[in-house]
Amino acid sequence: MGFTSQDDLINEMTTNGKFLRHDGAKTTTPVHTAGGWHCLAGLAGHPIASTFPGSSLAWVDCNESAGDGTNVFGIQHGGNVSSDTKHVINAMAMITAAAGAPGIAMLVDLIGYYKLTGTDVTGTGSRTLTGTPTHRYTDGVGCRAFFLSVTAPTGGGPNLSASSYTNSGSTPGRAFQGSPTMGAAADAYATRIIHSGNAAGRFGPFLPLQAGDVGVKSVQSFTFSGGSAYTGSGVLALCIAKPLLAIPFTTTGVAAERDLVNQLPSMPEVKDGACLTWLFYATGATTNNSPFVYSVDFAWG
Amino acid sequence: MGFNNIKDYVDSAVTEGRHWISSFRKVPSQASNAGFFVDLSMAAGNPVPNYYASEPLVAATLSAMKGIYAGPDASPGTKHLHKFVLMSPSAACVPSKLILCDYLLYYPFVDMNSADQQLLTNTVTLPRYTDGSGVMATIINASPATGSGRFTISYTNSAGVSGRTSQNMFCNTTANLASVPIGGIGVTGSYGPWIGLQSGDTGIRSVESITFSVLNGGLGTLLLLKPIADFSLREITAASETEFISFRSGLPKIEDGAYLNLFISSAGGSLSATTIAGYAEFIWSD
Repeated sequence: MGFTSQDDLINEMTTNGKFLRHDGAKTTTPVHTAGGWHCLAGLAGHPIASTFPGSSLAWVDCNESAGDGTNVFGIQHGGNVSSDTKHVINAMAMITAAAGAPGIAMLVDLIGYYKLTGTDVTGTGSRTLTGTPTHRYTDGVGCRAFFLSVTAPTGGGPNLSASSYTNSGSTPGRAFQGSPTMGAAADAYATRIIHSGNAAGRFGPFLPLQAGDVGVKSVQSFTFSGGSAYTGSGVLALCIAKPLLAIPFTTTGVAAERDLVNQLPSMPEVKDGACLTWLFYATGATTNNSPFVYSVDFAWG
Repeated sequence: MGFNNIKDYVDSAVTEGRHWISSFRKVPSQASNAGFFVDLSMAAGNPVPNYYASEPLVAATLSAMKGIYAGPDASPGTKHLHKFVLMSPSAACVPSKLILCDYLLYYPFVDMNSADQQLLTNTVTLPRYTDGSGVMATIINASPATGSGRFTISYTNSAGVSGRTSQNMFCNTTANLASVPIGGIGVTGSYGPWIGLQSGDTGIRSVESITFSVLNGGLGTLLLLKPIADFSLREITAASETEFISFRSGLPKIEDGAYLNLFISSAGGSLSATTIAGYAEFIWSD
């Protein structure tokens, strides 16, 4: 499991063929507002977009082979390799857009999401979530949560005034900290992580955990109140994901490349079934229909 | 507490989930002078701007949730800065030096146009580094100022000795909001961005008073802080990345509750309408 040396790594990749390169591209939409995080899973391109299917308040598992159960939207990385372990060894990201750079691209393993629709988005009372995530990381160790806009609400911008999650130690009743504020309609367009950005109470990309916690196993409830309630027919997804790596890129049209073996020794592990997708931090107002191009190299042994 | 070896360190981050990443993006609206330090906590963007708005001359603290968020408290483990990445698309931001600091305690609305000894109220004490060891002080323009003033502070040092007197601090000519009126290029008696301590002292536990011998004009915020790490941003076409195992040793410790933010001095020009962005990664032990 893993690699015992550089020689072992080279042998596995070359002699045993345990190497795969994935190339992909996404087209951003709509125009971003500066300073926000975005999840690119819902964008058209390669892989295809997730439509975040499901019933409101219910958990949906995501994995490599089935995606969200309807759309195979995750970066394909070669299937299960157990008893070997798979690792990212190189990654590249680039965006070509006015105000597209500088930015940060973060590769995450999306464990799944709780879909939120209708009055579960616009309501101001406590919402009880259902379903149990199937974790690839022991009970959610290292996993984080974020609210994602799938379809923009018409108006409003509430606060996360209460929440209850179970941490990776299986302790329930934990609460996200800081009373994060959710973006108003201008900051809650599709793909936006709605509690990221420049206003007071914004945290990005992830919701702050309670002291002592190292991961989110599941979320039991949340309350949007204060601020102003969302209106319209917006759709949100409360996602749980494990961050794997981050790449800063400074210049539009110039690739940022990361050697995860020699440059920064990390070789993040890609679990069997990992549903990989990108988060993108836009420091500027990235223009509509901007191509985000990337490649990821995997090796296992 | 702490890490025994590389494996222990990696296990914390990778296997055991004790890591956090936070982005930041600051877009100062205030003009500044090349070569003078600026307090980025007061700039627009994320984290939310800090205005040091509380009762004049009374010590107050800042909330960690409103700075560069370093993740949940680590105690009984210890938290450390693992990686820090800086970027800017703005030519005026490079080359620049940035200092990541834990802002510990501040005294707002110091009248820099008064020759009176201004007594400060210390009902709140240092929340971290409580003996003051390594704690520095600076002053920040909280309003436009005239400049060229001189002042000293009377303080208690990290050994608990009160009545210590700082070096005679010469203010520069910068009149800009959020700028640091001490230090800077070509300034007589410049000690850099921190107030010079009395000979032999290595830190400040509290400040009892401030007195201007030459008026500077404007209002100022006296700030006690702990410098954590410094970085250089050299060009707009490459991110400045510092990783505290392979690139630089030290793994700076971040105390629970730290309010983290940045001071910047750019040789490129005024920081008005520029963008300074990046992210920080933190990791903590069991």
